[in-house]
Amino acid sequence: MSNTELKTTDYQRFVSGDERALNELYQEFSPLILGIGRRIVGDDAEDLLQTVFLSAWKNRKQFDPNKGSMRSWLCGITRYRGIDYLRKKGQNSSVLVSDTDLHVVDIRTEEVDDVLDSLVVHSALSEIPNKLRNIVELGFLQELSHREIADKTGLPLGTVKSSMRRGLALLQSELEVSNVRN
Amino acid sequence: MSETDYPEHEKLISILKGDQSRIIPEIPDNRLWDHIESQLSADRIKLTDDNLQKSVVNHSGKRRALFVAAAALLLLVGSFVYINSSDQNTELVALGEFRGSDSAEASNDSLSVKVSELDPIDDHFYELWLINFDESGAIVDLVSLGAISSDIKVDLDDIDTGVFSTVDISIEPDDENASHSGNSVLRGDIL
Repeated sequence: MSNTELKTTDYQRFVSGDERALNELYQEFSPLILGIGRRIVGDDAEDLLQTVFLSAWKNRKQFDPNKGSMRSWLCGITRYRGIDYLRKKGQNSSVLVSDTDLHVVDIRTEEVDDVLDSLVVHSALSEIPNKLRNIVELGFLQELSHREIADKTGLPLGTVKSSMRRGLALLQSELEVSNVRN
Repeated sequence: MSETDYPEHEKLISILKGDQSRIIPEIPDNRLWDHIESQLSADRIKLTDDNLQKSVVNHSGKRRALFVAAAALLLLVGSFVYINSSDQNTELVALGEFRGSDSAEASNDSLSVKVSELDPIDDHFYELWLINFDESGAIVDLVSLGAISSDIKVDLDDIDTGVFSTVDISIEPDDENASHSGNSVLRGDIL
């Protein structure tokens, strides 16, 4: 979806096992993944970053550009690797031993889910076609009705409704890709 | 406009209307890619055409392989290998010059191999692999799970077992070549 993302042909190189394509993906997305990792696991973010890209490489055949963007796919891997990390740390820690402590781990993983969902959706929103993004933003950020959006944009009411559905469907697909465990 | 206008997108709209998460991108240290690359190198098996040929279950014409196989034959007859897991059983079959077969089991997150008798061979070792073949029988992917000399349980957390169809045990010369020798001695389907 992003103009800066690799082209479809490059995704094919990645899926077919070209390590140079993995390096290009790393150059493109590692700052984002490291930033997310910092939110999830703090000082261990660099370890998580390596785990995410190695996992993406090993599971590269599961990536389907028709289902969603590379960004959302990598975010999904980051989500589950990060949560795995937190759970293992919670289980292995000699400090976290009580039910309350384990509950804290659960809350932390829920927070990770929420943060990543929000990140994926807002990131995807910035990359869908301008017309669709404008209508979705008017509807849900400015909370205008369909009629108000039609009046404001000059678009027919039917166009506003169909554009809204298309925009939401695109965002939904990105959210679903990021929630698939790889 | 609210979630009730698009009930099928309730969660999505709730996220849209919530506070945008702030993720601050961070340029990673160059050494991190070096670590990834070194890990890839460790896992990488260079599949030259020659290796692909050798990896097929056909050792004829390979003098060294035959020699090792003949030696291993004496050691492996009567051996039993099981690949255990909670998910499925499969049959593990001795290849080429070897004889005998036994049951095997596989799972998605770990691989347990029980070896009743896998005697050492001078200057060689046994190596455990997962392999994926295409419809023509050519190897399209394989990963080493390390040396095996006795019962072993391998964690498959970072390996997508769904893309591999075969468990393989080979005899490898004790050299610097990380490629599959082509001298498989036991093999079983896990799909």
